[in-house]
Amino acid sequence: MFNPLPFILIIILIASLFKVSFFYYLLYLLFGVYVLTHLWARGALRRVAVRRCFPERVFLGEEFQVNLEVENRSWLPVPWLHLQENLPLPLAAPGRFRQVTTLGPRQQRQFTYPLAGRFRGYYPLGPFGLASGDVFGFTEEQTKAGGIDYLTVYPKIVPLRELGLPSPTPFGRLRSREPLYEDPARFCGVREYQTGDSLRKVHWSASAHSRQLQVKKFSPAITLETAICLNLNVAEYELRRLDYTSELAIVVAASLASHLSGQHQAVGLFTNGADLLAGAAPEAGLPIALLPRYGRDHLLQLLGALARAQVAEGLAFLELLRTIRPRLPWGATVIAITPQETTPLLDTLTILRRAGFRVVLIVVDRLARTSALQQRARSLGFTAYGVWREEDLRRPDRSPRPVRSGRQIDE
Amino acid sequence: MSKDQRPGEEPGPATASPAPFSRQWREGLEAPTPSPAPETAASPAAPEAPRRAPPRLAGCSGLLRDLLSPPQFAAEREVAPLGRAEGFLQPALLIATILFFLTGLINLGLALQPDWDTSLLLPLAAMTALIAYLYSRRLSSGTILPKEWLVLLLPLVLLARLTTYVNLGFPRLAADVGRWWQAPLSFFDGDFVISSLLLVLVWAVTFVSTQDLNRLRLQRGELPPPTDSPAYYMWLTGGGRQVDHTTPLRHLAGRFLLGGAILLFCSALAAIGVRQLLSAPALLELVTFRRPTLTAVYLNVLLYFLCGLLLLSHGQLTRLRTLWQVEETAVSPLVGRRWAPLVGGFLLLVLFLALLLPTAYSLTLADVVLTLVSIVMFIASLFLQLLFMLFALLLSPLFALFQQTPPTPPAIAPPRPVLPIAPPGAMPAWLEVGKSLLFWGFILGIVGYSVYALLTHRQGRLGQGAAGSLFARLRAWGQALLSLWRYLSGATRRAVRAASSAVVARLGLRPGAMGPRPRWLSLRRLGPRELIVYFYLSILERAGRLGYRRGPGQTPQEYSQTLQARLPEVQDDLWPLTAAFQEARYSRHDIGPQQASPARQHWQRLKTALQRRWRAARS
Repeated sequence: MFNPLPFILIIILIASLFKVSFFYYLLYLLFGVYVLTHLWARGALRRVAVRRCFPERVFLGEEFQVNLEVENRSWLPVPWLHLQENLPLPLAAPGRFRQVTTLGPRQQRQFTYPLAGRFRGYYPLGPFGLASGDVFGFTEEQTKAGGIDYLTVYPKIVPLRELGLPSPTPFGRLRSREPLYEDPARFCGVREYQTGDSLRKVHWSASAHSRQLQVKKFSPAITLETAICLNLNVAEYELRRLDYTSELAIVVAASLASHLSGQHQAVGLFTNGADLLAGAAPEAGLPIALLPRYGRDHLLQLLGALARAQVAEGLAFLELLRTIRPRLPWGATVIAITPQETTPLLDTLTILRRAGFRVVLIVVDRLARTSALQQRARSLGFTAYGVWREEDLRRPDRSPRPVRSGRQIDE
Repeated sequence: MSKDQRPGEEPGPATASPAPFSRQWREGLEAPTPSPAPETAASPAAPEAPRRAPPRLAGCSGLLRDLLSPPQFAAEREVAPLGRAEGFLQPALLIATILFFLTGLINLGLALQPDWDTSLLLPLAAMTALIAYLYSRRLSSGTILPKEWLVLLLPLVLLARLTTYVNLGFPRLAADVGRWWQAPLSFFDGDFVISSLLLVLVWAVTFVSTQDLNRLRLQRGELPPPTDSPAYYMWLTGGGRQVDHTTPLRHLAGRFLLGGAILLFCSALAAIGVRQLLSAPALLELVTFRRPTLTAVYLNVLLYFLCGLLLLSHGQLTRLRTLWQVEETAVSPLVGRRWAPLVGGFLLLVLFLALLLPTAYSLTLADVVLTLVSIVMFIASLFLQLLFMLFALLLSPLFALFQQTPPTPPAIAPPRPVLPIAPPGAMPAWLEVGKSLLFWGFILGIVGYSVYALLTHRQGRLGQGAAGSLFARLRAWGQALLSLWRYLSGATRRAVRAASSAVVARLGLRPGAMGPRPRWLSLRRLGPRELIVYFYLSILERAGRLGYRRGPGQTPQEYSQTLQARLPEVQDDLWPLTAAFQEARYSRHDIGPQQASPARQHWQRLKTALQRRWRAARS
């Protein structure tokens, strides 16, 4: 701003020349004001802390409030404090939060501002820009506080209706046509004794507690798992429709995962896209690789991975399919979501089919509705779907129905 | 939306932009120009009054016509509704500051010319400042329009001429009027000229300062019009308007500080009597800092600085509010409410601290510097003597080894510090000295910090100049001295280490033969079990120094056999001690003093035997 030091030196000279004691008081006053305002401004701003509180994960379109807590930890009052946070535009308009306030000694204030998860993604919030200064305009200080917090906006989930899949369904558990063997290591509850139950299965402590014979229940030894393989290799997308097509592919993946998880299925995700949190799940040596698991927590983890996924120049989709094959259990369902079907892809899917996996191909492209794709997939023994609009997920009857495979599945 | 309240407090009123003021500005269709005011007719919504063409005077040339035609008052700025603080406090502070400055000038004038009648000059100056403020406040630009100034100043100047007759009386006025008629130049006497110049100065300073205060506020065209209005697109295509609100405050502050320096100088001249300075001895006394101390209090000077600082503070608040308004930032109303108490409290605190500091001194700077230098030299010489004595002490065994007497340190008495002698006075001498040291410490500290801050701040600009090169050279010297100190201290450490290694080698000791660093261990604190263990381990260590170390896998009994074979004289005591050690180390029952006491006796005998062996081996 402006510097009074030259005048202070002049005052010293005048006071020393004329030996007027009173002038030294004025010198002390001016110099004291100058130095103490600097120390005040710097010291007060250093002890200001900002904390941000908001839900770290939201669904698309969800609106929420970000609560800010600004605290002055020193005994010096802050005459004015300028708070600024630049927000990512996909979350809010006009894309910033600004507020000027004052803080007394050891005082705390709270502010809120609205945000909305308008677009899928992984967004950094912060750090806060703080500015303050003295009351005379000698100095202004700026700093950053509050650190960076991250917000995850899950992708859109389109509720799936019945897709008219044949029995046995390529998704989920087998029907009761095949017996399921119980795994004695996977205890999952008790039930009342029925004639014919083995005495070795009796749960004696539960029986004593309930005064009725109780028998242990075990989970089946064989469960079917689903692996969603999402192609986010930018080279395999048409450049003109890259954004729309890749987002649609992610929406399809998220909707399928949510549907299957709701059916109590184990779902996993493998993709060759980039994860904004690099190295988050290097289980398969891939950017995003989540092995099939049950439960809502796993679903949220999967949706979080999809929220962060980006198209990238990475592994080819065929290579991805080959890489994950050894990691999947026998009988798992592989859902391949890709923007285009090619002969090598169909060959690879056929190999997977013959290896015992159940294969579903979803092509996210406007040309996916051709009957040639359907017939070809049918002849190779797996089903294929074409999705170009989100409505295609909701109203499958409008898209060509998938034809059942001509061969019986070897089970 | 923002909530800005303490828990339990009702939320305060939301801060809104100045309602009708900004809206009218936003709706104005006039293109924004910094200055001068546009001459085109404004739209009905614009606040400025339309300017009318001056009436033409028939038969006059252009220059004459311009001189004779009535003045065209400059386009007026719309004055937005002012708050109490801005509407009253700002002009009050500005006018007060200027009047306190004027008081200093008047005092100087009275010192030069005691007959000067200044009884009504200050009230007249106050009126002048007020009119200048109100006039300047309404102008949309700071252009100096001589005709307008003339029209507004002339009555005030004439009033300055006539107010002197309030004391002189009407008859004197009548006589002087007659004299003026006959000799018009007699109208302009010295007092009148000086008073007029002072009034013009007051007018000019108030005018310019008010323009600076105007520019701190929001200017036309800074805020965009409402987005649904046609003016918004014109504002967009016009490129908006960026106004500098910082430079006016900087100008205001510079003017305030410069005025303060001038005021101090004039007040000092007035205090010492300017006429006295016109002699050579007085001038010499002045420039050599040997004038006697003056203890007068200059209230107008203090009030000038206080009012000036308050005005700057208010200017800063105005500037910040404007910047926040342009940014469309929500501002808590508490900022404005707390501003004045914070400023007032801070100034009072600093004033209080300033009054505690010393302003007088009994010793000159030269005396203080001489004292400090002598103290430093005394301490340095003491340190050198101590160092020499230590070296002599360390080397005396060497000299004893070679059967020579060590050198004695030279008997040089360290120079005693030259302590200043305080002049006789009511206070004790030590207090006078202390006060002087404190005073000079503060002054030198202020000077040093100011020079350092200035050079650091301007290093970029003066980097090529003499001051910059001097600063860089001083810094380089300082760094060189620091490097030299580090080198010397490192070299000293290395030399000490080398000397100790040489001593060890000269005495024929093996590295590490001195054993581990002796630790202070109090045997009284050990229990019986720990004592027995300590006795045994102590024997192991002593035997180890003789070269009879216990092997890694050797049990205590195996080691006893080995040691006994080499030192038969220890047999009678070694076995009982070994047995006692095994009992103390591995048993679970209690070990009492009745077991520790015989073990101690064995240990002492073993220690004696091993020490005998050790001395025999050395010789």
